[in-house]
Amino acid sequence: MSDLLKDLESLITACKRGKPDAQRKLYEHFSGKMFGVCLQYSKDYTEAEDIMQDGFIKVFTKIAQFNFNGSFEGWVRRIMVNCALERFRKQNMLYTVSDIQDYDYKLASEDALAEISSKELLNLIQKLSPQYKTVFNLYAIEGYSHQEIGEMLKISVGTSKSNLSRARVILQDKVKLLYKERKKDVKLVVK
Amino acid sequence: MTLPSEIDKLFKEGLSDYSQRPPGFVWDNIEQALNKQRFKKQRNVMYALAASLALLLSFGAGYLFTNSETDTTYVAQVTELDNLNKNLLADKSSVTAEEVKQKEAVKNIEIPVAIQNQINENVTLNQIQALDKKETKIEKAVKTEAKKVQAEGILLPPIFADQGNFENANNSSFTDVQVAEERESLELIERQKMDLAMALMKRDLVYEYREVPMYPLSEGTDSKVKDYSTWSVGMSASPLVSYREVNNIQTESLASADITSNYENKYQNEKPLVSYSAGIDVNYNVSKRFKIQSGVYYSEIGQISENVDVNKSRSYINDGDSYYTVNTSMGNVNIKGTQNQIVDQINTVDRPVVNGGIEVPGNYGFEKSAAETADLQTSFVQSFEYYEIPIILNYRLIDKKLGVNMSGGLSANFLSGNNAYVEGDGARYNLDAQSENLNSVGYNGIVGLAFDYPIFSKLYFNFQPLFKYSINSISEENKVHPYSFGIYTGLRYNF
Repeated sequence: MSDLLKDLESLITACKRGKPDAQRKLYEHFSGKMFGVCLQYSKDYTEAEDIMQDGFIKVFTKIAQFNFNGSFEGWVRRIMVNCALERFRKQNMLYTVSDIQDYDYKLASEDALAEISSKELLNLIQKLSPQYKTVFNLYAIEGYSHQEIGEMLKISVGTSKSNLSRARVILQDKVKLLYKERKKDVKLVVK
Repeated sequence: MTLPSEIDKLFKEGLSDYSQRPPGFVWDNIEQALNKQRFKKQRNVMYALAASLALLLSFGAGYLFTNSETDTTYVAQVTELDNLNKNLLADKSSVTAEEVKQKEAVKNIEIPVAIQNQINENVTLNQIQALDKKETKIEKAVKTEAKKVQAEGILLPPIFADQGNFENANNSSFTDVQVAEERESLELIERQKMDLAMALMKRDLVYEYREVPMYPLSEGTDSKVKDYSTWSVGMSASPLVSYREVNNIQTESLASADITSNYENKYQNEKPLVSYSAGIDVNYNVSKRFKIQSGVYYSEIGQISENVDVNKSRSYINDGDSYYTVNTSMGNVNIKGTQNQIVDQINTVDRPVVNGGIEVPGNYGFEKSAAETADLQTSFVQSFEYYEIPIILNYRLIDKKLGVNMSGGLSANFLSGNNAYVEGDGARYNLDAQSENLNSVGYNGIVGLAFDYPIFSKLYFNFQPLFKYSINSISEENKVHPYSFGIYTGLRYNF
């Protein structure tokens, strides 16, 4: 076991005993990445800060339940996502899209993709409506199936699929715009 | 290349290592919330300690007050008696006429009612009844024989003997022969002698009681009376109805639950739980009126959340430590497994089953088709097992054959079990579940009544209805105070 992992394990153990110093260190270790996750699920900084706050309080109050099976980062991340979903459900932002369209896309220049920064991608996601954003994040980033997303958000599989499609179209358009702004030749073909 | 997967890939890879430092106040807020939780924990312990202290002090003060009243009257009487006895000793030569006078004075000293009661307690019931019946005769006998008895020196020995003056008293100016002759002349019948013996016994008890504190008075040592205290042990059991008082629910605990029982309607779907409690107790009689009761009791308390919807949904935490949460007023219940584990298992077999493979009756509502398409509606029972160590003070209100006592005290409760199960059709199906953030130690205030009735000479039947209210909150997060009511019934043996 590497020193880093050992350090992390001892930090977790100390946090389980409620040591304030260890809690701060653990927070510092994960705060950057987790804030990124929170931003992904929120429309702005304020919302992301709220999710982050709820998430870390939950991490520290439930840390006794972490039994060192699997990645701790994964565990923390899921708690963050969970908090974001709770917030989403609490706000009851249910936007339904009735038409299910089967979009097919093609990008002409693959290299162009690499030139979009993470920050820009994040901004694009943040501008999506809450439900599109949540469905896209859960499907594309977290890897859940439509069945699972439907259960989590209490929507039908069809709605989840259509939300994802719409989210993809919107993101695609925005990516295209970004390239246009940079005077890049990006060709989009929609069947 | 198909764009959907490209778009997904673009975002997944582009954001996978994305990191951004959050503003500093986020940690400040988290720290504040964590400190608040710590403070609440400490404060609850302090409250419980303060309440325990206050209760013990008030009982203690009540006890001292009651006793000091008796003592004052009693000490005054004893001092008077002591002085008279000393006078008698000093003035042995003029014993004949004066002694009779002084001893008459001793006889006329009125014994306080409280002391009389205490004396009566030490005489068995039958003896008291017998004495009551013979009271008139005894009075006569005492009157006619008083002089002789006093002359014999029987009245004085307890005091004189210990002071080494008993022989001196016997060597006074009137001799044994004279007394014996006088006695014979009265020709007492046997029965009168028996009555007199009873009277003497009664009187000796008074003396026995008096002489104990008399020495401390002259020697300046502890004046506490200890002779009549007794021990007893017993066992009792009771059905226990328990519920809770909701003072405040933290919204954060509510938000962190996957399933909310019914917060909007103030948890109106929650019902009291009927369980049981049993234990052994040890009693110590401090005085005639006060008895300290302690022991160890096992108690199960909890509540039922009826018609809780379990949505068929996958847990967001899917690895080995996955769980889902049901929110109730007593906090969140973490159920290990995925949220629809109950439902999933129903899908795999013909007959519905719940978590753990236990069969559920078909009419319980866990229909296969229903489970696949709709929510499950079920009753969750939260069960909390405690070992309670009480200290209860019993004050005897009515001191008859059927004794009635007022009970009040405290108990320290140690959490030994924290479970949840699904209930239906009178059967229970255990879940691998726990209510989270419970305090491991709790404190109850206890009030009630205690009745006792003798079955045999030393065996008593006990009947003790008790109401217990938790001084501190059951949960670290919410202000929820459980309470319970039970009628403890059992037997007690007095040593």
